[in-house]
Amino acid sequence: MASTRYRKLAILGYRTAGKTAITIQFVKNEFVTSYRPTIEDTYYKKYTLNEQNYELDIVDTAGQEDYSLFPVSCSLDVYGYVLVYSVTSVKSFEVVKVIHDELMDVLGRIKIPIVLVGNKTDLDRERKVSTEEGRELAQSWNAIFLETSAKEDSDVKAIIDGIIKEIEKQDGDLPEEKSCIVS
Amino acid sequence: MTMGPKDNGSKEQFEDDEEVLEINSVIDKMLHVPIAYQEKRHLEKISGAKIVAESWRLKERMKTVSVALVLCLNVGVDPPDVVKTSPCARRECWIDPLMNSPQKALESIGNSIQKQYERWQPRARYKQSLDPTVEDVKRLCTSLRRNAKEERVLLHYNGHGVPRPTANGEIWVFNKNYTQYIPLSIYDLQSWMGSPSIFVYDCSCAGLIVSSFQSFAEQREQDFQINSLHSPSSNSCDAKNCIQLAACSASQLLPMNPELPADLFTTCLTTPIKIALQWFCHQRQGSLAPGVTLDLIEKIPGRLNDRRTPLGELNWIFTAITDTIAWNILPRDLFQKLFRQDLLVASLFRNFLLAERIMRSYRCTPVSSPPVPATFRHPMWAAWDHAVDVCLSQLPQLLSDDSSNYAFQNSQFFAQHLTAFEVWLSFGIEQRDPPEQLPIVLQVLLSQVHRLRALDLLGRFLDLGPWAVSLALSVGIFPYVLKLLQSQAKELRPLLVFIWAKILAVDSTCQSDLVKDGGHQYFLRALQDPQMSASRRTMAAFVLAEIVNGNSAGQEACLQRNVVSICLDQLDDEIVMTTPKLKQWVSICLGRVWTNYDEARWRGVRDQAHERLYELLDDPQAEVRAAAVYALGTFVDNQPEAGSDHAAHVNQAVGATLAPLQRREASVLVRCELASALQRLVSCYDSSFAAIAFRFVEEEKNLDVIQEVGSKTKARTAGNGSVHQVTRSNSRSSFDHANPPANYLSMMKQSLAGDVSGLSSSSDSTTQAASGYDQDTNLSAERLNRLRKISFSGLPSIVGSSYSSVNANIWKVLLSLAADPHPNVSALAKCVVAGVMERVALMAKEQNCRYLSESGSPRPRRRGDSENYGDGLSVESSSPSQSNNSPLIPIQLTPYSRTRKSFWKGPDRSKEVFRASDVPSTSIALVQDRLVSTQFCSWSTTAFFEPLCKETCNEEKEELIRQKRHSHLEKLLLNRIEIDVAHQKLDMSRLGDQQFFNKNPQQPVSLLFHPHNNNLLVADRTGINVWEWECGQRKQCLRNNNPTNSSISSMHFINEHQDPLLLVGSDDGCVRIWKNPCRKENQNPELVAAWQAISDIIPSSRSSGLVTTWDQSNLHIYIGGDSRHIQLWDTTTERKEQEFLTGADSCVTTLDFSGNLLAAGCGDGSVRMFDTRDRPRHKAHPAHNQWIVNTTFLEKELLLTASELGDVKMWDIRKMSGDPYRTIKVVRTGGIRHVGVHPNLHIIACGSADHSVSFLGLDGEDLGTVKYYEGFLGQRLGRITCMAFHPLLANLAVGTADCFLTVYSGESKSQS
Repeated sequence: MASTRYRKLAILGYRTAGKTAITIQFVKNEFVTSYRPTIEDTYYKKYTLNEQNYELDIVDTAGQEDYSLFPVSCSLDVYGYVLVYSVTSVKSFEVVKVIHDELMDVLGRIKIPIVLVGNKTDLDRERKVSTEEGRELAQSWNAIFLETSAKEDSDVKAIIDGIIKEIEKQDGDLPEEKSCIVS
Repeated sequence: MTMGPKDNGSKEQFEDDEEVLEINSVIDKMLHVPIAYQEKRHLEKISGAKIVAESWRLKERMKTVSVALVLCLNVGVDPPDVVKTSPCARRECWIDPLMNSPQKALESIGNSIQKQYERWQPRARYKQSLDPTVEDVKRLCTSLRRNAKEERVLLHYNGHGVPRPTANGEIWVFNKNYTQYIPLSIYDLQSWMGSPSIFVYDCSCAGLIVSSFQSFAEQREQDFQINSLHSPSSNSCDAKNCIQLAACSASQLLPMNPELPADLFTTCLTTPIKIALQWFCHQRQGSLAPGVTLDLIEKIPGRLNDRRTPLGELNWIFTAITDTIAWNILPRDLFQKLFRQDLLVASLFRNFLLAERIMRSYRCTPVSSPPVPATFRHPMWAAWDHAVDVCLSQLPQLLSDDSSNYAFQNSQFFAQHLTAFEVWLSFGIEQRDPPEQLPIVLQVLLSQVHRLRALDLLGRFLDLGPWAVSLALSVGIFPYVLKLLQSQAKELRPLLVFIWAKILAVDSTCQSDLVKDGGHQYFLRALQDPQMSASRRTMAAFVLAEIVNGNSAGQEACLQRNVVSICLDQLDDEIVMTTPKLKQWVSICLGRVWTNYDEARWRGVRDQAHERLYELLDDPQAEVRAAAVYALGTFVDNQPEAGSDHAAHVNQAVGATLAPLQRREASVLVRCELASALQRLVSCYDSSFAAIAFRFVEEEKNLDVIQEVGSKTKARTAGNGSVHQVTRSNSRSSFDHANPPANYLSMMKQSLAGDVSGLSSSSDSTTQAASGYDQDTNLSAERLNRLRKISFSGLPSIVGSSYSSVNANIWKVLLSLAADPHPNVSALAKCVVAGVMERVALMAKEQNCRYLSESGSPRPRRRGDSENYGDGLSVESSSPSQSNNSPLIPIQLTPYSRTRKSFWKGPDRSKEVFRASDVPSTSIALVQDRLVSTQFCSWSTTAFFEPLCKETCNEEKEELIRQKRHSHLEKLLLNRIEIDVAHQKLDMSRLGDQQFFNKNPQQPVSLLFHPHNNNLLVADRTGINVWEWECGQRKQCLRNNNPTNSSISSMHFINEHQDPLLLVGSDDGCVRIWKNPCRKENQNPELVAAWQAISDIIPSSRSSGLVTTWDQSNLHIYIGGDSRHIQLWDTTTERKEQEFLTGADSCVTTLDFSGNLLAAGCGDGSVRMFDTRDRPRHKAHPAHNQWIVNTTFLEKELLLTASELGDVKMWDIRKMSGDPYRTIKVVRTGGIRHVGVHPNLHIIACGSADHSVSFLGLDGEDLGTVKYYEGFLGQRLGRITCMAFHPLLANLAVGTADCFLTVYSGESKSQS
């Protein structure tokens, strides 16, 4: 059994996109119904993926605005980023793009492990951003794309799985899969 | 009589200008003829003013005792919903949070804000809550509310580090780990904070909180109403008692300008001067005085709370300006609530006005609840900017190195605004907006420099009327002027006395505040201060009188300071004695000091107060006399058994002095006070009075027995069934019958013992006696007259009281007052008399019972009628046939109990209720529920409502009145000249032409032509009809209200030259003065004065009634009649000035007055001449042998006299003892009955006993005789009852016994 790996993840996105909800769903497996804007919070969880143990620090950030400054806490020592938007809010989708640009600016790297998440699929009737739009954006970033619902706990784990895989892949530590995909 | 000199009738033609000159000089003379009955007491209703409920006094003064400072800053982390500029406004409480570590910064900010608030309310309990959680806030709020109880709690919320408030009504705080913003519902906050509270929100979108607050409060209200149906629980949060201040409206963000502090709103509210100065510099960076920089303004010397330093002065001006703006813009009640109720709230709101001005310049609109109208453009801000500019421009010199050479120039702000106020005042009192400088005047009172001027102006303002006083009180002068009473400065004394008099006149409730603060001492000093003017000392006396009025604390406090001796000393003061008002108020003050306060009374007895007050009973001013009577009335002790013999002695002395007043007082004011004062004696010695009244009724009954010997049976049947019908006409009567004095029983037994023996002769007489008492409370005029005629000297002395003769005298006076011609007086006195009489009625009944039970013949009681109601209440009902004989009363000689009110009065049944347990109790409650009281004192107070300072507008008004009078007189005079000219061509042979003929409803007894219009006043026995004789219409009737058995006997116009009043004399000796007798301009006739002029009427076979004559130049009335005296009544002093014997054995039949001479014709034919300058000496001339029917002064010192024999004589008054100058014999069978003399034309008219009227010239020439009415029937004239000439026109009115009225006129028809 390999030793436990420490991974710090940051969740970014427009306010009320569901960052905290996703985090709490993943960490505590519950859904918070009340809205309490997050100042910044870090959640810790032991997690096992593909027989590899991880210690995860998930930084739940305060929601970002178009012009808000990039949180300093997210620029250092973060392995991967989860960018969340709400499928019911075009604004949040727009902000996600801004955040991505800033992220690229601040980190100055081309390859950053990123998962783009379209949250709140349970509110399909109020959907404003289509799956295709999301997928196209993710492709342009060369990022993983997922649509989830924190409320219904659909694909929440897949986000973390995805980002860990992405991190490992970029570190080159990913155990070989059946077929090697070179992107 | 006519106005003016009689001989100015111009018989020659004057040149035009000469004529004008003549007219003007005559008018001038007439303008100086005094007018009677022009005093306030005649023109006003004697009653206190209705004072508006005091709104200025705060229902509840409140304090903010606890302050919660909730700061949500989370230094270093901006909330997610705000995008900040860079650089951005950062400073909180003037501290840059990034200068230190976040935690330290937070703490120092917390301490700073507390210090900033503490400046405004140092004594509150402050609690900081820095970056709290919901739990923290809850704990904080609930604990502060618990400690504050009903007082106010302030919550300051700084939300600069959390998201904006939500539309759902939430503000944000933190979780424990500061990882999240946690919403806090305003609804919860309301519950925790309760009310009264004040909230300050310094955050973006703060207006949102205010609206959420409102909707939650409404929701709460609804819930409360629903819940209260199920479980009554108190509503913890009453939104009406919550005040909110929010930095901006619901959609606005706070300004981020880096020059500004981040908490701009908070700095405005808590450090206004600093931010105001900074803002001032920012706004006018280009136009500041040279050398002034932002750094410099931090160094303005001085302290904020020292008004003499530059900084303190600015602060003072700022307070004055914001207060002024608020007072001028806010509705009064809101101003009271926000700016006067709570020191901290007031300061915050003053500063809020500044916040509005500053924040608006950054596009933020501060919001308040209750909302305040926009004030940021108020012109007073310009005055502030100016004051700041003046101060700043001096800074460079002031702060330079050689600053010791520079003297700071104080601001002219206050002086200038006082000047503005003065200008406002100089424009008089037209309906205008209140002066906007009033709050500044208030501020100025704080400074010694301007205080004198400010007080003077304030006094002048208050003088404008009660509205001004209310306004000044509402602005808040009260605490200031109260505090100033501690000042020893003599120069303030007159001003403060004036101001306080004005305040107390409007709001007497201030008395308790004055006593609490020892203010009474100030006014006692002022009263004694010989340097004060008499009018100011009057005000001091008034203030003292108000302090002790019905206020036992005030009475005690003042007595300790010797108020009694001080007031009495005033009565020896020369200045006081020449100032009637001062005398009046010193007396009222004395009267009030010892009202129901024995200690003061005894102090008065020791100082011989009553004897000093006696002197005032002869004062020429009616108000002074009334005040003295009032003081003597309250001086009378009403606890005779508690007091010593000395007390009783004093009481009797006072009573004996007061009683004779009734005979010499013409003033209604004084007689009302007299009735009220005597009532004190009555309630004091009620048993004695009951006994006296009982004797009077006995005596009356004896008279009746003599008179009605033949109608005994009738009297008996009339008496049946009516024994218990005690008339309850006076529901106000509240004699304390339940608690008679201790000696009552023994006295009554003794007094009744004699009666019973006298009455026991037959049962018939007993019944009759009872029937006599039935009428006891029936105080008809006839009955009162009958009672008054009983001479008490004839009564056997009443046993048991050595003072009975005094009391009997007082009783007679009260009976006279009850029959007073003025309704106010008689109503008061009747109340008093009725109270005693009710008791007498009961005594009579008891006497009956006793007699019957003693004689052993009680009739069997009908069982069925007797019911027992338990608790000692036995009810007896009996059929009418039994009622007066049944011995119903179980207790002998028990006076009335209060239960007598339940007597049931009806025609077929009478029911009685007696409470057996109501035995006389020796513990006497003071009879404080007085029967009657007058409004004299409160009416006197109204004098202080009016402007007391001489104002220019008053002079203008007087000038206007003078001009009006002038033109009125001119008109009269021209009219008169015209008539005189026309009279030169008068056809004397046509004098008997009948012009008017009609039937009066009653037989006329006296006639009077109105001198200026075509009204003819026709008096019958009790009323006066006004005829417009030229058109033959009867206009209306004036009821004179004299008793039906009396008759009007004379009429005069007084003030003929100005709005004539009608003087009516009736043969019961009463005089009444009516205003508007002819209902000019539809005003109803009003009784201006009425009094009993002659009380010693001598009954004779032939009565001359009441004879009067009027002296306009001295305003005197001379009254004669069926009396041996002629009396001089002065209408200015309203009292009998003199009474002199005619010397004749018969009545006075005629009176006339001219110059200094009074001529009285008598029934024995003599004419008596009096020189009014030396009245007691007179000359009697046996001019005639018969009843004199006329004495008239003609021009050129001639006196015309005429007797019934038909001899008309003219005398040269200088040679009265010799033969007459001329004698005219009018030969008529039966002689003549009436003679009229035309005052200007030389005509006399004689009404003869043979029913004819003859006209004669003064030289004896026969000008015709009228014997028949004109018309086709040509009836014979009736018996002539009265006749009168028109004062100007050649018209004669004749009234006859067949009720016809005829007017004969010699005027040519075209004239009419």
